[in-house]
Amino acid sequence: MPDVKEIIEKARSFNAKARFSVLRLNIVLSITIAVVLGILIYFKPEYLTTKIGVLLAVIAMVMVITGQNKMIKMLFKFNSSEESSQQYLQNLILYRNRLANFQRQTMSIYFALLSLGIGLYMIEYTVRMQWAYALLVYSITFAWIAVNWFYFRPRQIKKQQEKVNEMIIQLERVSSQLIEGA
Amino acid sequence: MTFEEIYQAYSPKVYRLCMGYVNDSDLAKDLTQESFISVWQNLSKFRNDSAIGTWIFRIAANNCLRQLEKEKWVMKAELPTELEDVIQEGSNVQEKLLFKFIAELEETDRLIISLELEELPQAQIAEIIGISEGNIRVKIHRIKEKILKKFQQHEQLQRYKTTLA
Repeated sequence: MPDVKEIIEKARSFNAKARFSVLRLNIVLSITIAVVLGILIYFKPEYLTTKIGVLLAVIAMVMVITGQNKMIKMLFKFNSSEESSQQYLQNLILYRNRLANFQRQTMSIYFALLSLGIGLYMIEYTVRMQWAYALLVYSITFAWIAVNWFYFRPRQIKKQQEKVNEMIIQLERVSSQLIEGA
Repeated sequence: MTFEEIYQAYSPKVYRLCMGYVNDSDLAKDLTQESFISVWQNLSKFRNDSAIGTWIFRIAANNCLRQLEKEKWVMKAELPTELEDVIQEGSNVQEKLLFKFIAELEETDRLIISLELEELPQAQIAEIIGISEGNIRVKIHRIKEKILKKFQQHEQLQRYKTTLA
């Protein structure tokens, strides 16, 4: 059996790690916004489209990071000490379902906003180019976005969903063992 | 009760519960440790409206169920070799078999019978698991029947083997 001091030490480091993971997400969020807004101030774009483009990109990032924050906080709220096994299983299932929805919806909205943002941002700089170059720049950018949208995004979603669905199946199987009269 | 006292009093019981659930001594040790980490973290929130034993077993039972979310978790029911560790002292064949047979049950049945073996009142088991006391009574009855049947089958098999030898 492990030593009692070892347990207390581990518990403390768990608490610290949990706090740090929330803090880190928020720091990443703040730095990202600061950098993007810094670009806006430093390069002083003239077109409204550029500003809207930057704004859309920031909204996309803020959305993902706040969403992740919310999911982590929900996980911390779980209290294994105050819930019966049945309630606990139900909460785990609820959490996994929410996580699956979050991953599916947020990632799609994120990609859409970011692509639109980049497209708008580029207008100001491409109008100064010759039309052939502009066309080339847009083609390459949107080809890259298309690869992400049609190849990487579905693959990522599928991988995440398979994992989550497997967990939900297991949790529901065990939860059904507790149905009265079963 | 201080955390140290709680740990001294309950860690062997929690370990046996975890062992009944996973049938793997290393994993049971890890689960016991994780459970007491939760106990330590939540101790300030513990209200005396339930017995401390119920509260600790609830944390441990939920912690065992959390195993369902871990990847590549495999059922250990087929590996009775792992049993040596938990029942080294004063262990006999009957005890070893009991642990093996518990490991072959459904997840929640494993928790229920392990709590019963720790001599917890059925009302407390009902509170921990979250189903009615009547249902717990029925389940325990059925589980005991199942285990008894396994013992009988085992004896028959042994007798058959001796006749053959």
